[in-house]
Amino acid sequence: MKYLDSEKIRKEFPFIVKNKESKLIYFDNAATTHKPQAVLSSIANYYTYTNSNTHRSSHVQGVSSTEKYEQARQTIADFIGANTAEIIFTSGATDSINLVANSYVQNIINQGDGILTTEIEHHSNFLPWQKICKTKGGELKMISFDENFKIRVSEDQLIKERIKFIAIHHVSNVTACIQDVKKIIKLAKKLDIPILIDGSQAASHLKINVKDLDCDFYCFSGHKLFGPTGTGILYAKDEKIRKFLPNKLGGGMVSHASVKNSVWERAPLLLEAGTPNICGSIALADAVKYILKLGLDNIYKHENMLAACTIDVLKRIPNITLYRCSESSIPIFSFNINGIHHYDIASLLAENKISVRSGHLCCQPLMQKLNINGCLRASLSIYNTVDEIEQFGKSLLKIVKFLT
Amino acid sequence: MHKGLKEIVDSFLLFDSWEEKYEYIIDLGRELDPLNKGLRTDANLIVGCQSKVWLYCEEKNNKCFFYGDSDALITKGLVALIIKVFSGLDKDEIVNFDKAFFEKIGLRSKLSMTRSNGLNLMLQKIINFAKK
Ligand SMILES: Cc1ncc(COP(=O)(O)O)c(C=O)c1O
Repeated sequence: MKYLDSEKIRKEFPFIVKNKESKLIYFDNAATTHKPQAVLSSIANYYTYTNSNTHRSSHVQGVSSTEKYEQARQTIADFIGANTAEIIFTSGATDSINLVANSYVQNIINQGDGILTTEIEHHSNFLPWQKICKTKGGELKMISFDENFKIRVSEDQLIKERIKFIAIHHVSNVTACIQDVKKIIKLAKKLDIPILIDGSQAASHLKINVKDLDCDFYCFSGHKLFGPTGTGILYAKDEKIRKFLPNKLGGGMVSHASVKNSVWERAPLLLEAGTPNICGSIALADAVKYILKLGLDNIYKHENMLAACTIDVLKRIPNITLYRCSESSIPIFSFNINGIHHYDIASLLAENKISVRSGHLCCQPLMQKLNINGCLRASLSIYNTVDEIEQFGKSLLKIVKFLT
Repeated sequence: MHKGLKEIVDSFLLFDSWEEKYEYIIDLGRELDPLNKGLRTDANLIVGCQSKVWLYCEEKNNKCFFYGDSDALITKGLVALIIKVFSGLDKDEIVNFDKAFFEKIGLRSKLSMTRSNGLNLMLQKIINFAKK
């Protein structure tokens, strides 16, 4: 049973088409995905037909630009079940998380308060909290996890450690584990603790509804979702966004400014000072439309099939250690081959025109916990095929033999 | 081009598969004089993103000598290659070294400004040492 026509999808991605001859296998999709023609056309069309500043000009293109930008906000809001006033355009997940840290969390943490996170987080969802704890005299606390990388929080821990804020991943960029965030959010709500979910690795794979999840903040990057780099989303619940203090000041975020005093605009404009990435946000909305056209259910099932094939192939590699949640459907595979440096394998895979990631994957606390200095990561997307997985397995086997 | 260099370029021109090329590089690493334990220190560590490189530089009778190591096989081979290229030259020869050499043997990408390995930083350290 085929859920997606991968041959048809491949033709929609100019990068894949261009590299058809050289048979490049791109397995670094957790780092960034390629862009479909619909997104590339969106960018070209914007600068060809619309280009104008938003929320400022009353001429025809200015109005059209503002309309398209606000329609993009609507598309994103619908995509994750939010209201438009709760969607802030950012430059990426890192920017979204830092915005929450600087405009909100910083103001609610006092001496002795705890911020709760995990050692599995990407540095982007770890370092901002570490910094706030250092500057405000708070304490950074960790949630424990089991051998399947599932995290477990108890009410007891939240009370004992005086937790005032929680930041966790939805899907890990290393272990592929899909956390039961809904359960954790419910617990946080019970104790009235605001919670942020880093959805960077979830948004292109899973259906997300922030109202159903009931989290306070949810974020992701556009470029991991077939959209352009330099785009990202922060969802902030209405009651929380009201408490944000702007972190950047400038054009577009005040309703009135004078020598004596200035009056802030309403959110989300308040948090989008300066000329925004208009084109990027519109193109991101087009990437979302592309995903919706394929259907997230179909993507989920297709990727689940790719994941099962990859597991089969990796099982045949001797001395492999997988750092992966066994229940996950997300096609991310981090591993090491005992006795061989991950960099050596990645180098030779590159010689074989297979692009994978190697290193600490911006998750050094997790690497320390696993007692490794890094690993390899193959991460797949909708345009990857079973043939590519087989080829990857063959090359990997050959390389492992070569290096041992 | 000194004799050692010509030898390297000639070898690289003969390879027509990645296996041959990397066998040669890894062998260079195996032949590399082991780095004295006392020199395998943090001060001599060039922190790359994926593999570690140690490099120690010294000057004797107006010539520069380099000693190094790495925790990855291929990187270690490349460290050995760079040492083979630069060790024994005087400072002027190092500063004026034609980097097109790395292009010729198809290793420029390995020495690019990426954080994927410490090789570019290693090269910089060698050149900075020669400029002192
Ligand atoms: C889980 C996770 N969080 C945050 C980020 C940061 O995303 P960006 O670099 O696009 O801001 C990434 C990117 O790798 C990620 O995988």
